[in-house]
Amino acid sequence: MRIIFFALLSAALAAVSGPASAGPDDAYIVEEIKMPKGIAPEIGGLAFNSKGELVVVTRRSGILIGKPSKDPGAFEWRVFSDQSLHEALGVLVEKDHQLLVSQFPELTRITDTDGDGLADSYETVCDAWGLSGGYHENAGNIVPDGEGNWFLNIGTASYNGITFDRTRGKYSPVGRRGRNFSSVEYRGWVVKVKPDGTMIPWASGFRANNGLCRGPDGNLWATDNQGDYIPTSPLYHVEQGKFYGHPSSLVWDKEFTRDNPQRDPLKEGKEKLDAMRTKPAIQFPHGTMINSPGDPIFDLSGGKFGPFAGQMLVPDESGQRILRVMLEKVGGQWQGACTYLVHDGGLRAGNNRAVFSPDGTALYSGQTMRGWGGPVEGLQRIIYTGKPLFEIQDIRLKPDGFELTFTEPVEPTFAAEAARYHVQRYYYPYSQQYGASQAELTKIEPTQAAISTDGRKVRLTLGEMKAGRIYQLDLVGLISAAGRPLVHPTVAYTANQLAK
Amino acid sequence: MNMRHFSIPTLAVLSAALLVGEVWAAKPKPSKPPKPQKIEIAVVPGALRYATTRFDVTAGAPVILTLKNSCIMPHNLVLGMPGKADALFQAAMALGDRGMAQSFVPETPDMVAAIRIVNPGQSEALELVAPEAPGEYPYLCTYPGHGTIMRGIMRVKATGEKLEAPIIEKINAPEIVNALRESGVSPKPMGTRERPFVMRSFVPNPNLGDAVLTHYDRGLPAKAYSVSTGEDVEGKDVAAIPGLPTGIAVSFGPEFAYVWDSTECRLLYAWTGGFLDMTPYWGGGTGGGRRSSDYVPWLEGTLIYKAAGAPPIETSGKPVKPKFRGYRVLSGNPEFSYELGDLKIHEHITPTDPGTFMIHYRVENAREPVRLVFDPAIRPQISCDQGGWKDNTLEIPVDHSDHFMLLVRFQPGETFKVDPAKLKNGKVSEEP
Repeated sequence: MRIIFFALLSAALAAVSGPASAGPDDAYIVEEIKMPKGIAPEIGGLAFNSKGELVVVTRRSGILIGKPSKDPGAFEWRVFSDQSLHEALGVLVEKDHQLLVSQFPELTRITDTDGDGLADSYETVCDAWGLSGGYHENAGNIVPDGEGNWFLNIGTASYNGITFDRTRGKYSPVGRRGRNFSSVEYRGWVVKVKPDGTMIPWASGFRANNGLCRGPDGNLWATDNQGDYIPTSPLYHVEQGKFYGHPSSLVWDKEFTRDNPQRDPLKEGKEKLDAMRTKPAIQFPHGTMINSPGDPIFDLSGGKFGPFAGQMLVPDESGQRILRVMLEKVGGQWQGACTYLVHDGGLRAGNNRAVFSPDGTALYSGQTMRGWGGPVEGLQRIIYTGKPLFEIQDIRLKPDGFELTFTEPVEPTFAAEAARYHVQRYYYPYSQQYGASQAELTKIEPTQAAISTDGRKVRLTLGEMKAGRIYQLDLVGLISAAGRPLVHPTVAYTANQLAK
Repeated sequence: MNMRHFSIPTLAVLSAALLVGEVWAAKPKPSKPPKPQKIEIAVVPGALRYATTRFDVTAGAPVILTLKNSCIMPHNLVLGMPGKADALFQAAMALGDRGMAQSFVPETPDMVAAIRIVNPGQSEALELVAPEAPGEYPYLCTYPGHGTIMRGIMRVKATGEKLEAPIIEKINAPEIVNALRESGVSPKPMGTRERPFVMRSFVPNPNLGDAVLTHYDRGLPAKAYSVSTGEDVEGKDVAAIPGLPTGIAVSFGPEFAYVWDSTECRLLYAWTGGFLDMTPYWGGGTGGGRRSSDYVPWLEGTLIYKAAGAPPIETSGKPVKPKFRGYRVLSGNPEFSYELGDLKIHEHITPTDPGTFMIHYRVENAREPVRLVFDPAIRPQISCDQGGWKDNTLEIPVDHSDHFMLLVRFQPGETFKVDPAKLKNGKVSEEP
């Protein structure tokens, strides 16, 4: 018995000593999809059409459509658009021959009207937002609202870039101030676009919001990127009229400027702004978890993609990882935790857009750094092999700690040792600084780890909990009853609210 | 003969055939005539090319030649004696004001037969007897601006000689449309006349000025921002850089490129000798790596047209802000659409004869004559196939507003070259 234990322990230690890499026993494997030569595979939009073909919108090399094959190197590709669009960053399939595509200046309906396979109509659906010449002025992530309209992310410009002496749309000298700024309309907003092209400003306070999705229950979610006023990359539950913390966008908020058209959001002071903002449902600890969240997607495969059905996945543009998000409602507010779905294992960085295959067994990740850093670009897919997997399936906040659910029963001896649960509590102070360090970093020693009778749950007691803090748990050396090490032993829970 | 502009005889046999019948009809075939050979000549949409550029006939045999106008512009077809294409072109141009009334068909012995102007979407057939003398008989469209490039050859073969299959350009053939464009990868993209390259991008502003850029707002210099204090840095302004955020750039190869703008809804400038070097925006090589603080592509070449003054189409009363509606693509070349009050306007820009390009207009919902007022700086470059001029104002009658074309003569202006020293500075800054 002792020998077996030692064997299990060494396996577990090996697992925590470094990031997992893909092997024959892995539940998730990464495959490289071969793209045709002659394009720059900087992927700004991914979607499947009704025929099961993969629509790939590139930043500057047009739109390709690929017929997937089991062999990742044998996709049959054809060209749908041979035009170089202006930083296309979103796609929605309306019909097999008709796409909605977002690009810097507009939302465009791109159609093959004569059936020859090549698009021949580029109809401007909406161009109601401003454009000032900044490389950071994203317009992307087309998300249907369920009622025939679409949500879009409109990103701010960066002081690292430039402003043109001619801007499309009204220019605001007040909005131009700051590090990431909103010199033209609705920069730093989520907007709603109606089919007739009318645009409704929906929610403000975003910086470089490069992720937007609607959950199966109709809730709208946006990711943003760490930067000024964003101490670490967040996930927001987006609701109409709310302000999420990056101030520049407020210059286009009629309520904010009602009494003073020249009211400067940057002069409000961070305490006032902090009180105004709706806090992220989840904060992704920078470095530890994710550095540049891309477009989130819910796993609606019903289990065909593994044991995490219903959870949200968030690709990382600047890391070789896809995050997994576990949400719950506490005190009437959404909050929750994140861990990895995949970390390394052959995955590249640049993970910008993700889409599930129609059968739900594969997650395609479209990659680009879109001009930042070294070129990281291409298309990969993550396949669920069905092999057994020992992971944290879910985590729930309790009044005095957490309840962890695992994908397999835990090996009880280790799992019952409270000292194996390394817990750190911290928060990220909100300010104009670009990102923030963890503040009030406190180590917490759990007092008890109680295992459920079926071995799938561990009830971790920490004692008194503190609201507005992130609890980061590192589970050291846990193994399943079957002897498998925990693939991703770190989970970070954002406890805005406390459980009662 | 009483003819309206663009009138189309409904008979399959055109007066042109009768007109030229005397050229060789003097030698009728004694025996029962064989079944006529049928040749259809389509037009590559918006490209100033016949789809059929060569076909063979047998000397003295009957031929039915059909011009199928699958283009958005009107076209004719003038068949000439061997070696006389240029002479026919010159003769058609020499018709001057009488050109339109004669369908630009010159009355000269160099002409063998002709199909008069065929409007878009229409077809016209011409029955003729092939010349007795074998040889290469050119045909061309003598509509203004088309004649030097829109051409083909009818080869007359001696009786008994084998006829080769016609050379026909497939319109939108899959092997063409599916070919990948290296232009979307290289920082120096380039199109061709056969396959223009359309690129939406931030574009350079070659000093267009306030009179032209009336619908953009002004970006202003801003105070530098201290990232450490979160305060403005006094006395240290950050300039607003010349550039246009919503351009649509189209390259036809080194001979011709233009920028049409979706905010101003007009052609802003055209040039020859290159296109846009995207290195500042896309980075060098084939991977994405933008350059720090320099996102305006570099213009390469010599301007041959630069917009001046207000947009040419007059609106009654005060200026109206145009509403961009997008574009359709004809043979790779966009036809831009926008609304100007009640008017729906479509513009299609094509290089034509050497040293000339054309703006083909379609104006919908015109209830009164369409008036175009040109700035004196560009008026000398411009002529039109329709309407009448009064000084710098062109008036297009309502019944011709559904299509008319401006021919614009190249007027060499400023030359832009990429400074090689700039290419060395490849530093990339990171701030995601």
